[in-house]
Amino acid sequence: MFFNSIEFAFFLPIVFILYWFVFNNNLRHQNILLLISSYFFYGCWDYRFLALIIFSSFIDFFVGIRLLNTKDKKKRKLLLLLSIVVNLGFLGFFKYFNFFADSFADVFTLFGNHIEPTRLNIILPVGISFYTFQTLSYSIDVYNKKLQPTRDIIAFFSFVSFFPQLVAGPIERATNLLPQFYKRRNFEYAKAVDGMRQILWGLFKKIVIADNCASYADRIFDNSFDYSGSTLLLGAIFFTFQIYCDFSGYSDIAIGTSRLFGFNLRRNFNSPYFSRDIAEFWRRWHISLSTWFRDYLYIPLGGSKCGLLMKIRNVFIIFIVSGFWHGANWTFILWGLVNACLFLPVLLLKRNRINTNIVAEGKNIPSVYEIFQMIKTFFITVLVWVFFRATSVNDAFVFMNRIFSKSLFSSIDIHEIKIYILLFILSIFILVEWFQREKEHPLQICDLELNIFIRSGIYYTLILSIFFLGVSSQSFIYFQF
Amino acid sequence: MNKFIRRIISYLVPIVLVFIGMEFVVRNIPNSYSYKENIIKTKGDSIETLILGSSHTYYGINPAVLGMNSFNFANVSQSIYYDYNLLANNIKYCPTLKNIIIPISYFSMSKKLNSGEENWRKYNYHHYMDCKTKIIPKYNIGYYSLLLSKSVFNEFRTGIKYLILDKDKLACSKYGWGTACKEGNDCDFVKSGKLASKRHENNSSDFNRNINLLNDIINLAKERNINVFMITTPTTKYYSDNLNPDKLYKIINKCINISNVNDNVFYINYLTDNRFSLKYFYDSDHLNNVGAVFFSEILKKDVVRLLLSKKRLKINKFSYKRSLVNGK
Repeated sequence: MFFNSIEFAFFLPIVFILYWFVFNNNLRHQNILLLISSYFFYGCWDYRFLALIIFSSFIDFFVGIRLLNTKDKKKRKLLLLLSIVVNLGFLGFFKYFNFFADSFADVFTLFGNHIEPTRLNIILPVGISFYTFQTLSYSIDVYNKKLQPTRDIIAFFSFVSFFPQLVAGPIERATNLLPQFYKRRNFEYAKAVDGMRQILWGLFKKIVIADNCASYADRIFDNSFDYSGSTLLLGAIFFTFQIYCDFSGYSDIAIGTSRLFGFNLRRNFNSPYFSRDIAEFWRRWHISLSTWFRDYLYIPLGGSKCGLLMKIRNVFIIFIVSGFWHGANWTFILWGLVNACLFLPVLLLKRNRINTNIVAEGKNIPSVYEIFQMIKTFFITVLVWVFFRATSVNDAFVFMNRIFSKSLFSSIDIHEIKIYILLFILSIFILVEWFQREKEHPLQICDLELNIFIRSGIYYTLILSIFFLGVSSQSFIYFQF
Repeated sequence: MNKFIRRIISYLVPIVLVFIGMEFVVRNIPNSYSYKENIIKTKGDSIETLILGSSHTYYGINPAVLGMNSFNFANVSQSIYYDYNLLANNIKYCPTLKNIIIPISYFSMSKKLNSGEENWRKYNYHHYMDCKTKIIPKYNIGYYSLLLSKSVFNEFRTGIKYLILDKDKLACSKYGWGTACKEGNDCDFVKSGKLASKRHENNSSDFNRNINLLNDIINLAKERNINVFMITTPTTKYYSDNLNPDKLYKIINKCINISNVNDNVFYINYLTDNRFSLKYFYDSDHLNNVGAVFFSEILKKDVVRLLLSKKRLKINKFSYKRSLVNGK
């Protein structure tokens, strides 16, 4: 059941009506409804993996309770280890078993021996990369005594399986989301309306921008030998927008949907393509994942408060693990490595926190220097995404090599009116994102004091553009992670 | 809460009304599916030869040239499953039906039910041809709505184009023949052959399901003394050379066996017929308009020859050939 599917269009109102009209007087019943709805939502993907998420939730619930009652440091460590082993074990098995088997066999081949790896026909459970990290954050926070463990099994299971953010994030911290299941949610009109606006913006980004960019990006990447360097660069730019609009669009829909039920999820993207340097980009891109790695891996390793070599080590570990989290392919590891190489100089020169506020804050027009910084960072990001998108390391290098050939200065090979329409829409999109960059999402237009006709006009324009410009349903990119 | 519900409803009502209007529009856009359904029901009593199958026969056989009061009931990517269901649903409208022509090809034998990127076409049969089958369950929204069954966006745009530009989807002649494959198409036959053969490959040599459906068609025809002509339509070598030869051999062999076992069945294999040069092809496995005329003339002669030889059997009780390869 995709967010942009007809089934979800029926599912959401039914759950909403039951939530606010039938079960609104009883918090526990509301949580039970969310739990059942979430399992139904997840079961529509693949009911076989419901057992997995239930088991994972149960382990962490049990670990939380035991951690509360255990003072012995060794036993507490063992309990935490249990949670880590179970969660990462599931993730490792379903996501990385075949990768490690093939890599192991490749190493043997390098030494002149050929072995046939044991490969398993494993289906990746949807959302496993997200909910395992979410439950791990709970166990770790309880262990570190940052959070009181819950005895409310319904609230906890609902927190783990909460359907708006179950399959593709944001990866919520237990400290933020879990307490929201304890207290009664009251319907807030302004919050719900804003939630609907955010859902609409998310759908627009996904269906109009991301899916249209995908049709060209896929064509160009899949037939890269047929195209000039300039076309390949255009393909990389389309992919850059595809992945941003796809993933941030999903996050917008997730956050907007949560608001309809009275929940506040954390922002996951904060205008990353207006970043002035790579460090700022990583503070604005997939915030929930980057902060997770920062808090649960980078800082425990020593972070940047250690010697030079350790700092370098920590940066490489973080980015490589982050890349690896995305998928079992050397391209993701290489992508992480490239990002580490780009981030490291900024960190070592202590320039990683010089751009902490939004660019041109309070102004409409950035300075020339800011424009230069944004364009530079944007194009670095475009080129780095090539490693993420390529199907193999070799393909990535060949693609890059072809971009930086003489044909980079030739005209684009695709002469279709649709591509110019798409570029025009992208320009409008960038302008909208720019002028509304200081808001949670661009459709937060209450402060603009627009009359109802203009507001309605904006909403209907977006709805009509979804129907006129939408492409046949493509799944969200991050579902594969 | 009430204010929120009222606001949502006020925004949704126009959208729902547009949806309902569009649903009505897309259901009534003239298209080859609804056209053929209408012809079968209103003029079926004059049809003596019915052509079934996929794009190979849809574009490849021109009933006006074939004669024999034929009608082309084929559609793009139509599987044997739908060939059987359409025949079963509509045979009652064709009391004078004497012959059925059905393509047996690598594509038709490999086609899996309810799969592939053209899977959305099942909704066309459901809504335009009243061919309701179990592959669209009643809990599927597509069972009830054509607009929501396939790509909403594509259907929406199609509806708007029809309303504003009067652009319909009727792409066949009055005898049901697909006319889109114009001659002079600049095709890279080598690339097209590789792509088409890859598209038609399901990586399985088990086509029993489709053979069972074919047997159902044959039995249905037998009950009414209708002849069945299984044909493998002409293709370029750029297509046929890329097919799995073992599987292809199995398919052809099976066809010959079926024709030998059933009195009312004939098999004609034109796959590598060298009378069809590249000028007759639109792409590696589809004939163009000129090729369709040429092929229809040849097919007519071969069908008549086979029917005559069958007639002689009834008089002379001699055995006769029931399968032809390249017209021989």
